[in-house]
Amino acid sequence: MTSRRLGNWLGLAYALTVFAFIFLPVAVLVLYSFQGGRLPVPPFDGPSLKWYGQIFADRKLMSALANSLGVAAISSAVACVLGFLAALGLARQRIPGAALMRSVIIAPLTVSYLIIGLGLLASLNASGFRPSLLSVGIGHAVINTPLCFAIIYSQTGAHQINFERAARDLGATELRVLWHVSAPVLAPAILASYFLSVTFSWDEFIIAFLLSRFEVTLPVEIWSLLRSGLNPKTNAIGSIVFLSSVLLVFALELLVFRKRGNP
Amino acid sequence: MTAELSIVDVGRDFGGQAVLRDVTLKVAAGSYAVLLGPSGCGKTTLLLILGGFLDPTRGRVLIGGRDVTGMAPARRPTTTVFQDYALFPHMSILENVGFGQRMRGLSRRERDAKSLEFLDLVGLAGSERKKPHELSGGQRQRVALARALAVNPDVLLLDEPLGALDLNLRRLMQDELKSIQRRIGTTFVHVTHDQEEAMAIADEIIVMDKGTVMDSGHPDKVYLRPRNQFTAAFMGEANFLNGRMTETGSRVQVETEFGSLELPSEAFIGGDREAEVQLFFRPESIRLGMAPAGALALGDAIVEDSAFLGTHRRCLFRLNDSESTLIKAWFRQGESVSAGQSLPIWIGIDSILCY
Repeated sequence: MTSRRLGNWLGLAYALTVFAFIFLPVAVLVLYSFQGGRLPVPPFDGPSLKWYGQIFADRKLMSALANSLGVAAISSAVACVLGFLAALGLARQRIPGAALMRSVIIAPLTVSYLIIGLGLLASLNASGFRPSLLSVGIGHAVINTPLCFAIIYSQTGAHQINFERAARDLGATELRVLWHVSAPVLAPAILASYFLSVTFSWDEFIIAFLLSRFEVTLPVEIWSLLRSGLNPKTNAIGSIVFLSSVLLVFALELLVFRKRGNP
Repeated sequence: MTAELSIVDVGRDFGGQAVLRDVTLKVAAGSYAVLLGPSGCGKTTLLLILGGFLDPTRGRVLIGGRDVTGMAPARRPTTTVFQDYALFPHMSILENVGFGQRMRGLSRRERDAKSLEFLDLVGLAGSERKKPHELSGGQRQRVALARALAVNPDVLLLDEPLGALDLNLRRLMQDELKSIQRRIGTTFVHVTHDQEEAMAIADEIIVMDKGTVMDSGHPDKVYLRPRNQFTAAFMGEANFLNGRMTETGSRVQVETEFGSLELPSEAFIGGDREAEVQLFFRPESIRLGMAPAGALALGDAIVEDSAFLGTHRRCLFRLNDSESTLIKAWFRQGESVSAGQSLPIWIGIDSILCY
């Protein structure tokens, strides 16, 4: 009895240690964003909201934030559409070399962002394309399409074939089958992959750094802030980034997984 | 709307294997046809070809005299009720039934009115706001039927539509399918492996095996005068006995181990008469007692098993002279036959067919 109890306590302690290990840095970051003084180091002399006031007044930071949102929203939509079409094509059609195509589509997931970013930079230069938000968006669509494909493909099943057959049977053209039947049936997977790729694009630094020039995304702007040294302002903007990711994950949980009834 | 369906020399191969061979048949406009056969006989493949989901390797399909071979399902005058119903899970019942009209560009008001009319036809008025998962299996079946009928097809295809329902519900749906078909007059082609279901609803049964049509016709013809031994055995319980035929002039004698008997010429199915024949008779044509003159007396037989099945009593007889032949017989409920008894049994000449 006592040994089982001891085991429970040890298990709890272990779990708390793990969570502390994961979240302590973030907790420290958030705490010192409310710092009163000029440096985000102990002792804590807050709380104060002045650094938050500063970042919301900083036009460069705010435009970087807007850029990030735009790039994330649009590049994820592109990645989702491409991933959805590829997944449905490979799930429903008998294509020679389908297994090979599947692996080739998923392969970029295993390649580092640095390599993909360098490759894109080289190709864009070669084609005379100027680095811009558009090229960042293209880069993010490249890294997120395999993810969207993998998630959506995993949710396609043979039982959905008859939905599509029924729609065609009742007079739907291929485009209307996709729009009225295939996409709604796969909606949970499509939404999940959209939210995940938004969070990835929102946080992504290397590709955004390599492929942008004058207009930059938020992580790149934060990086240039960091070059002038530690500052509670960077903590404040970091907290905003973290909070946004958390909200997205909650939205994903509520919209997608609750709906399917399997938490 | 309704139309005649004809299938001309249709064949289909999968990976070099022919799963359908030279299927030729005609289904009259407005009739209820049932494709019947064991699993793997090609009946579902044939239905997929009729619906346009699969192209035949050979042959043609004509609906109302128009060649529809190779025409996309969307453009065919056919609709299908799928085995798993395939109701769109994200749409309400009303939207499901109205889907076909929506694809044809009807306004919401028009198609809602029409959908309600068809939901009423299948007895589901009042459920139009529900989602498919809120309905029972039988109700989903009705929605699938309403959805397929709402676009006024010439030919309605049903792929084992009652397979997932329990026996009572299946009987009820059989009656309803038949009555709906009578009311709207559309040609129905229904696939099943259940011969009782086929006989309950069909105007014409098409028996299939190994990719070919074995027999076709009205249920009583297919049951009472099956064209071959396969059909005889598939349509219900069957007894077979070996015989040897001798022809002297117009008289045809068949020798069996129970004596010789004279059979009328209509007892012989098929053109070519061979010396070795199989005598076929149904279990319900077996009688107890002493055989009258001219009948085939099977002598005293031992009752191996006797079971009460509700509508009748089913017995297994072991014939005295035979090691292996077991004869299946059905008697009235009241008949007292119990295992171990030895009883004389016989069959009337007009219940025997020869293959």
